[in-house]
Amino acid sequence: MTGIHQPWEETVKLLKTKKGLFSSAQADHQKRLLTRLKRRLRRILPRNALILEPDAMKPYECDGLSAYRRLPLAVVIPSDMDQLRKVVALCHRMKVPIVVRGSGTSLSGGSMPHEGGILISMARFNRILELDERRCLARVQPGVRNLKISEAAASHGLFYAPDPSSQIVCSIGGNVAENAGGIHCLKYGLTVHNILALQILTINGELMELSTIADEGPDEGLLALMIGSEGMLGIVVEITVRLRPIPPQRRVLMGSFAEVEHAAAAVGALIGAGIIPAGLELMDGPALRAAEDFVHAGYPKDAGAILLCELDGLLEQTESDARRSEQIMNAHYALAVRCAIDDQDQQKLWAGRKAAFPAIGRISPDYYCMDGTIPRRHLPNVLKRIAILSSQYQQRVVNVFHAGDGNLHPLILYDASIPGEFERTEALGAEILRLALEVGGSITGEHGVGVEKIDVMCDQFGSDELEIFHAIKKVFDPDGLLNPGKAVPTLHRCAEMGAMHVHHGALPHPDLPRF
Amino acid sequence: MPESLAMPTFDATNALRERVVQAYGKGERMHIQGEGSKFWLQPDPSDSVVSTQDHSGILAYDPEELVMTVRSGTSIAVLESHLNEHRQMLSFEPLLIHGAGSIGGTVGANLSGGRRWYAGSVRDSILGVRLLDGQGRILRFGGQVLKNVAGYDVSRLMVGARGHFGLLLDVTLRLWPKPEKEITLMTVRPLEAFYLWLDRKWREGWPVTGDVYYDNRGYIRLGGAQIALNAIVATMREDEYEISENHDWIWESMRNHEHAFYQRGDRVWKVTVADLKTLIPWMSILRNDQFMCEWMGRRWWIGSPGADLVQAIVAGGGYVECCYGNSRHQLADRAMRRPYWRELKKVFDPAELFF
Repeated sequence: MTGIHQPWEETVKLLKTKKGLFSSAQADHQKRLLTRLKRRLRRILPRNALILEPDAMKPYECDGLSAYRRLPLAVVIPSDMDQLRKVVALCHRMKVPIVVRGSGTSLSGGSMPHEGGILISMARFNRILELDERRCLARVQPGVRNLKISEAAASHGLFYAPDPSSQIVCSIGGNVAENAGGIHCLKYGLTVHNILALQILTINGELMELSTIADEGPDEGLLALMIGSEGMLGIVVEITVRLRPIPPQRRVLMGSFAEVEHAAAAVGALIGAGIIPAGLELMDGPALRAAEDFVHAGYPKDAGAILLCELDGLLEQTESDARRSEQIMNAHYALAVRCAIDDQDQQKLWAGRKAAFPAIGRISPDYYCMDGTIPRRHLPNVLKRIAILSSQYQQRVVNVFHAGDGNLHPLILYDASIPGEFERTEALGAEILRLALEVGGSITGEHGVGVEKIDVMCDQFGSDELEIFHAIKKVFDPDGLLNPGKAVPTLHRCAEMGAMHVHHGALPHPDLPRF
Repeated sequence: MPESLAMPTFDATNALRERVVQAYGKGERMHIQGEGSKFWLQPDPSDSVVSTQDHSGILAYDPEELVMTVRSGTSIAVLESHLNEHRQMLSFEPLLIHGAGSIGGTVGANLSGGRRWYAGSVRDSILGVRLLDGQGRILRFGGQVLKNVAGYDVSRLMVGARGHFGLLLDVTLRLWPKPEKEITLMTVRPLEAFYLWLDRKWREGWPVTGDVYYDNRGYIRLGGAQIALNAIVATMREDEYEISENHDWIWESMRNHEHAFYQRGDRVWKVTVADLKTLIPWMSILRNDQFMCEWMGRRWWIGSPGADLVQAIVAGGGYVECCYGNSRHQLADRAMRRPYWRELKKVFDPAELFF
């Protein structure tokens, strides 16, 4: 948000405090506006598409980042384009902010409601419109669950590659908004690499079609701009995804190591040797023990780390890759390397990894999941430094992550009921992200910025780049109504944080007041 | 740690920035040029040109990272010879028009070669850029890591933008290991039958890395471990397919545009369609040597097509660009006609310096 006037924030503040600097005449005016908004929503939507009672809105007050909660003015659950268009037009006319929500699994607060705005749930846009086996694509609505696409494609021998661990529930629309990843990114790419076309409803009601299906022009770049834009530029209403043939063979290896640094070094060596595993995941000692206790995946509980390596392709290719991978892990002091004997065994090995987060939930009342990405060569060093930070802050940190693409997921364990622990956890989290930046990485690999990492954005980008981001938002959303206040910090906010980049030895925004 | 790089590097950042700042002051319009190989995108002789040729060299390359940062004026040929030493490659197989082409030009033109259908486009390889915009600002977007969702994806917006938003200074690219071995299969059969067969094999998991169809002959490139390729070859019937190194030339002649098809002096159109079926109805008006086909029938190079064919392709949602002949600027640039495109241009280049 670039300081654009938000009448609704004032309205809400006023109605909440029931006093303030406003005259009673102004207060009455604001109240009338709110009444008018609700009346109009009732007029354009059927009963089952509108929630106005605070109690009924409760389930929508947060997403996967439950530490941040807010109630919107109203929750709208449109079931077709006509309803959606009407709501967007109304919000556009009355300048009411809109937050669009898929399944609400965002880990960065990307779909946390705006307290002066409307939350639009896309849950009823849940149809697969077309599955074209010949052209290897599926045209789907944004509320379709990620896994449902692969399930529908399976009978044609096809699958949709990006598989965030929440894939059972997360929606494809949310995946597009966040440019979601998963465990198969290294070989098959992120969401951006697997989307062929988007239909986007802009805030002024236009339907914009972007496609790369038969296009080598600039639309490919525009499409990428939209993917991962966290609901700030438009509302995705239809998505065409690329489907790929299911590989004929899969092989899963588990290497166990005494030290997490050895496992991390093996990761670089595997990739340097020209092997691109379909998945390459690392779990440290505490994580693998928690997972083992939870799902009995067959992990060696005395190990300091395990590496799960999935190889796919033709039989002879996977055999050759598996042999080489085993040699490389052994050369990096693996205690043992085990190859899953059959499909069931493979699934068991993966089950531990997929259940890692809930498993951690069993050993700690709360945990905070970070998402920094670093160049792989820094893995051993960064893991060591995270351990040091962890003891400094006296918060335990457990590591489960996508080692192949350098995407760390340190989980900071804490207890929200102990005063000060959450604040200390957030501060430790920010330190870990700054560490990722220091070695040339990024503050977020796949979870997005949302509300969670908005302050650390000031560390990753300079003021010129942030200005460009705000200007881009303004191109698509001049009034700043779409998901305002998320993803891109205002320059004021960064100046107040004191965390701006210093370019050419000069302080940015010397004109801004600092405190 | 990244190795020290033996190749010479030339940093023209300051000179380029000065040139842009001056032009901004004078309201001069400029055309960005690398090696000038994509002649169908070249400016008129009277246009003012800013060249990236003095801005070249590899800035960072660590083979274990599969990531390389390179200045925009770096020649693809130089870059690839360096990658070759480490058995790595650019997955999109950049087109080198008669052996030439810079990485900046490749990104600006969004020009991928035969491997694209199987391994991804230029855009898919971009991880980050440093951009000199139309106001002389030096901006950094994206980064050097494979996964990065902080901020809008401005790096990939530059792909295919033909420099409309500014001059790319450096580009960070994701690399891929070269397959242990590649072989070529050649078969003589009709177009549709060839692609039907290839499609089936690709779905069965054959490691296809390229395909070309020209003059009744279909070529397939397979890449992978020697042992895996041997296993495939063992299943083939020799009377149906030739497997020979004698056919390897087709890939280089395609990507360098040195194949006889490009040498006839005709107009050549680059056509991208949703699938093979789009062009099948038009086959009867095309001679066998009048077109080349790749990407499982999605990209065609067509010599001298009639205006009605071009129109039909565009009407059917296809993408057409005239690459050889006098039809420069006859582009079906849907995107650049969008009002949003013009607004985005204003964000980076309000004075319209770059065109």
